[in-house]
Amino acid sequence: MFLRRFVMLIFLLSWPFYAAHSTDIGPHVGKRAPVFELATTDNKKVKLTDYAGKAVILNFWASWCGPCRAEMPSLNRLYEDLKDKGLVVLAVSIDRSLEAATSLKSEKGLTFTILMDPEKEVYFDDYAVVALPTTFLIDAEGIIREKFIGEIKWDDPAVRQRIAAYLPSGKKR
Amino acid sequence: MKNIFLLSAFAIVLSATTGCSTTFRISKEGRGYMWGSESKAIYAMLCESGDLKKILAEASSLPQRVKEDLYRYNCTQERSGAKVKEIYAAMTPDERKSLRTAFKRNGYDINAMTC
Repeated sequence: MFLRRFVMLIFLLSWPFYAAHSTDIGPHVGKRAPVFELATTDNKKVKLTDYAGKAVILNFWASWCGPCRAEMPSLNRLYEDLKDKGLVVLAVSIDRSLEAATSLKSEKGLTFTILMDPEKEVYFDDYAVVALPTTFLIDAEGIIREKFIGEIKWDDPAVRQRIAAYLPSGKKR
Repeated sequence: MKNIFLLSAFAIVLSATTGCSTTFRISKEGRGYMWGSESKAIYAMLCESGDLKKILAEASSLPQRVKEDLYRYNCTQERSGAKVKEIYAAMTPDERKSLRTAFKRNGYDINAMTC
């Protein structure tokens, strides 16, 4: 019984990471993150380079994507926990409607930045995302350090530890 | 044996609930298909209609070789989802942009899916 539970737990924890490394579409881990400029839900222009020196979680999502919606609360908890240590979350919505994105933001009480990419320029052209949610972890030097495909429990201690290792104050390089 | 069954069932449930789509999907007028799929429906939509020829002709940043391969692996006897995915994976951002905008001009949307 214990062995079965242990195997399942390992599978559960490792699956998103396995999935991320099982596809080679889009920018690769270890390469520089493509730079981009998108508008926030308040129509302010934001560039990836505005966050140089910080670790950035770049999350691609849509309001109609159930797993995307499901992971938002834990992503927000992670952000609230680590923002003072240099973590930025940029959640790129590919919704056509601004209202769809903003209503989720207020419904879930999200405090991180939501960007709009209705034409899918960053999503498709630059990052070649083929599944939602897809999330990139970009370090303070602008290098992609992790790619996650599928829903993640962001405040899980193991995931938090992986993210924290790339914060500006972290040791991992 | 029972453990293998349980793990397989778990993997299927997990993969179905943790993300939306695992490959490149195109849709037009409410019908959506995985690009490179070998279904008759996508063949009719893209190939019999002449849409893919038109789209590839308009995708000016795509090298001729890529256009030819995309047509071959979508619309001929050599149809292959794996080959289409391989070609897509090797495209540059400019090439993807060119392809996306050509699809769009012809009434298609890319990776707009409901799950």
